[in-house]
Amino acid sequence: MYDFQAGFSRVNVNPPMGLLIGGYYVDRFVEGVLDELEINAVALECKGKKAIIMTIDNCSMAPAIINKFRTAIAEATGLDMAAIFIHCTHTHCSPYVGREKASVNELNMEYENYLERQFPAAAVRAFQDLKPAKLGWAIGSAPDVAFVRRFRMKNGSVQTNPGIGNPDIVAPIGDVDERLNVVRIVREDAKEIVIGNFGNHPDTVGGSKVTGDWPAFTRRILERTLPNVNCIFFNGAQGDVNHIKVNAKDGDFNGIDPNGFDGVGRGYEHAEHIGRVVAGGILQVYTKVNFAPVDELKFVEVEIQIPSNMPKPEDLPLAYKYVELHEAGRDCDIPYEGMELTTVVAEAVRMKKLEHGPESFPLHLIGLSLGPVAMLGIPGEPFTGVGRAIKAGSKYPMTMPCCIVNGTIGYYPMKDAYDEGGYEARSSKFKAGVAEIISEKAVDLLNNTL
Amino acid sequence: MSEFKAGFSRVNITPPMGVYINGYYLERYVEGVLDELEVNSVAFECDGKKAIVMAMDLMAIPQDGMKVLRNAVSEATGLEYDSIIIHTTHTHVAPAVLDGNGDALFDSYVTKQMAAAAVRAFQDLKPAKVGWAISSAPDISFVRRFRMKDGSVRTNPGIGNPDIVAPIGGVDERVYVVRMVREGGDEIVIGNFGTHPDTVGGSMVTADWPGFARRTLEAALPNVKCVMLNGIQGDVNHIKVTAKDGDFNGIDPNGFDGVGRGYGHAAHMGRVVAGGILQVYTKVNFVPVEELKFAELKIELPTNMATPEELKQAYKYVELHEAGRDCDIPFEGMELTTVVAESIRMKNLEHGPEMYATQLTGIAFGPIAIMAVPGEPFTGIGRGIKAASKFPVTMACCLSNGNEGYFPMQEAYDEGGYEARSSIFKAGVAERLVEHSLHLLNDIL
Repeated sequence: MYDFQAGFSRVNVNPPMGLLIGGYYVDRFVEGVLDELEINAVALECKGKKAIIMTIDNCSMAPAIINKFRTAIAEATGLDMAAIFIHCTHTHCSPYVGREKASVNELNMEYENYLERQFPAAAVRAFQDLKPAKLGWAIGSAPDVAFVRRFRMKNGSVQTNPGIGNPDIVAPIGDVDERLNVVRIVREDAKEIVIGNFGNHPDTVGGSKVTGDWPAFTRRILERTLPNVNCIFFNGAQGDVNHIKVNAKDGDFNGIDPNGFDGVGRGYEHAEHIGRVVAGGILQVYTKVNFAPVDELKFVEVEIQIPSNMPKPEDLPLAYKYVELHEAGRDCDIPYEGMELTTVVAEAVRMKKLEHGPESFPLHLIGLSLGPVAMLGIPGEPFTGVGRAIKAGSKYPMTMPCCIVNGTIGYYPMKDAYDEGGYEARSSKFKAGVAEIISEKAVDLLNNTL
Repeated sequence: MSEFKAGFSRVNITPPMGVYINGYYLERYVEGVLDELEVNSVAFECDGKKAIVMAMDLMAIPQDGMKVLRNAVSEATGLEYDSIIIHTTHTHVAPAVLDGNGDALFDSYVTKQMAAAAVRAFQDLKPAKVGWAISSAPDISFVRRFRMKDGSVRTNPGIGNPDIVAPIGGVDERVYVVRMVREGGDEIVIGNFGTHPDTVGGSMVTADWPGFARRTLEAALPNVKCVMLNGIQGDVNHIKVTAKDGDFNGIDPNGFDGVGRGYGHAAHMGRVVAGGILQVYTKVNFVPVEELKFAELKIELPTNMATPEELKQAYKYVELHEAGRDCDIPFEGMELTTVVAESIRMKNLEHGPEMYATQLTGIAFGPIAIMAVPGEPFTGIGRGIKAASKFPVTMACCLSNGNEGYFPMQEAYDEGGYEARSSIFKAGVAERLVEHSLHLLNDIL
C-alpha cells in the first residue's frame, strides 16, 4: 500500500510561425520547428496533500507571467500557489513570452494567452493520471558536455565565451558540476516517470526554428530506450556554464557549425549529443536507484530581498548611448564584437533600467520535498557555485537545484565574479553577494522550513 | 584513394527446446527464451582485401568447432581463413555448439547460418567512414578474485563477506567504440567492453548484457546496428561485494552457487554500456582508412599437467561429479565449482600434450585493431596489450576463434583461485600472451 501517488501529462505548445523568439539580443521570428515544444507535468500527492512540478520548453519568463499561469492552475486544480513549481528549461530557440521587448508582436500575446489555457490543462491531466507509486533516486554523471564559460584572459580581463582555441585564455573561472540527479517514480499499472536534473545552458542550436534543445533530446532518447518511461527534465544551476569547449579538438567539432552570429559555435546535432550524454548518464544509474519511502509531501515558498545593482551616475550617459544604438539596429556603431558586444549591450540595458531603482528586489524561492528528494526552485540563472552550495548544505540526500522556476529576474553570479567582470555579473541587476544570499536562504529553506 | 567499405548482417540462432546449455558444471537444457540469440557480423573491404568479424551469442566454442565455422565461412565467401574472426560473447545461458555437448541438428543449423551471415554481411557492403572514441562503463564490472583473511584466494566470495581483505587486480572500465557511417546504409557501431556475461542463470536462453547493450543502443539510435565484442574478462564479473541499497535491484541473491543474478541486472549492465557509448557516439574521431590488414599468429603455450598424486584425488572428484554426487565433495558453492574444474583439467591433461597449439588473429583498419584471443584472459593482459599496442583503439576480444580456457596472470597461480586452478596452461601464460599479441599487433599487422 502506497501513500504516495504520481501522475504525468505532456502537452504540446509549439508556436505558429512569426512569433518573436527569446534568447538573444538579436530579434528572431519563428520560421519553423526542429522539434516539438512541450509542457511536461508531474502531479504529486501524499496523504491528501498535493503539488505539481511542471516544465516548459521556453527560455524564460517574468514572474508576473508565470504567476498568472500558476493562478490559472490553482483555480483549475485547487492547489495552493506554493505547491505549483513551473520551470523553464531555458532553450534559446523558443517563443518570447513577455511585453518588454519592443519587437514583441500580437502573435506573442496570443501565445501567452494560449499558455494560460494549456498550463491548467496539463495540470488537470496530470492529476487525472495519479497512480500509486514508489520513488527511487540516484546520481549519475554527464561528462564533457558542460563547460565554464568565463575565462581569465592574458590582458587581465574576464571574458565570457572567448572562443574555441583563443590563445589569450589563461584559465577558466569556476568549476563544472557534472552530477546528474535522477529520480525514478515506479507506478502501479502505468508508465514510470523519470525526473532528470542537470545544469547547463541549452543554447546549442541558434537560428529561427524552435527546438527544446538538449533537455528535449534527453527526454526523447531516454523514452526510446526505456519505452515504459515518461521523462521530465529540469535544468539545474547553469548561469556560468555552457556547451563550448574552448580546448576542442578532433571529434569535438562534429555536429557544430563554428560560425555562430556571436562567435559561438552551435549545431542541432550537438544538442542531440548533449541529450545523448545526459540520457546515457541516466541509463547508467536507472536500474540501481535507491528506493526510499515517501511518507510526506512538503512544499514552501519564501520571499527574500536582494539588493539591486544600480548604476553610478557617471556610467549612465554611455549606457544610454549604447541602448539607443542597439535599439536603432546600429550595433555596428558600438565598438565591440561578438560576446563582448552582447555584454556591453546587456550591461547598458541593466544600467538604464535601474537608473531610478528599486534598491532591492523581492525574490521567491520555492522548495518541495518527497522523502529523501528535494527540489529547490530559483527564479533566475544561478552560477554553479550556488548549486554546489545548496547540494552541500542540504539535509536531503538528493537536492535538485532548478533554474528559472516560477519566473526569472536575472543571473546570480558569485561574489568574485563581480570583481572579475564578465557578461553575467555586468548584466545582473543584483549587487555582489546575491549568489551567497540565495545559497544561504535556500539551505535554510531546505533544512528548517521543509 | 582507397575506399573502405563495411557491411552488416544479423542472423538469429535461438535454439529449439532441449539443447544442452553451456556455462556451468550443472546440467541445464533449454527450457525457454528470455531474448533472441544472434550472430552479428561486420564485413570489411578495402581495395579488394576482405575480412569479417562475427559475434555469436554463445558461451564459447573450442578451437575444433571454430575451425568448422571458419571453414564454412571461408567456403561460402572465398575469404582467407586468417581473415575470419568469430567471437563468442560468453553468455552463460546459451546452447552448446560444436563442442560435443550439444545437438547435431543444431550444430549443423548454426554452421550453415554462420555461412549465411557472412554472405549477407558482404552483400551489404557500403562505402563507410570510420570514427572511434573511448568511453566508460562505470560500476558494473568487478574483480572477482579476493585475498581472504585466512590467506587464501577466493573467486566470488559473496556480497558482504566479512572475511574479504582486498580484491586482487584492477578493473578496466573503458568502452571502445567504433562508428561506421555508411553511404546509403545504416550505421554500424562496434562496442568492446570486458566483463563476464553470467548475470542471469537458469535455463531460459539470453544474450545477457551484450544483447541488452545492443538493443538499448539501437533504441536510442534508430539508424544504427550494433555489434558488441566482449573484451578481457577472465577475472572480472558483475558481483559487487560492497553492494548496498539500490545495487541489489534486479538481483536475486540466492544463486545455486552463492552468486546473485538477475535478468534486471543484465538489463542494467546493457544500459550502462549503451549509455557509455551514447556519451561519445557523436564525438568520435573520424579517421581515414587506407588499408585493411589481417594476420594469424600460430603460438604454442605450455600446459598445466598434474602430478601423479594430484591425479588420484582429481579422478575421485570427477567421478563423484559425473555421478551427480557433488554433495559428497567436501566443498560448497564457488569452492565446489573450483575443485571440480581443477579435477577435470587434471584428468584431461593426464597424458598431455605438454604444449598446446593455438593462435592469435588480428584485423586492422586505420587506427583500429580487433584482436581475437582464444580464451579468457585476465584484465592484466588487456591492459598490457592496450598500453603497448601501436593502434590507438585495440579491441582485444575474449573467446574468439577458440576457447582454451583461462589465461591467468603469473601471480594468480601462486595465489590460487578458480581461474588459475582450472586453466590448462602453466604459470606465465598471460605474460607470453601479451608478448605474442604485441608482436602480432606491432610487427605483423
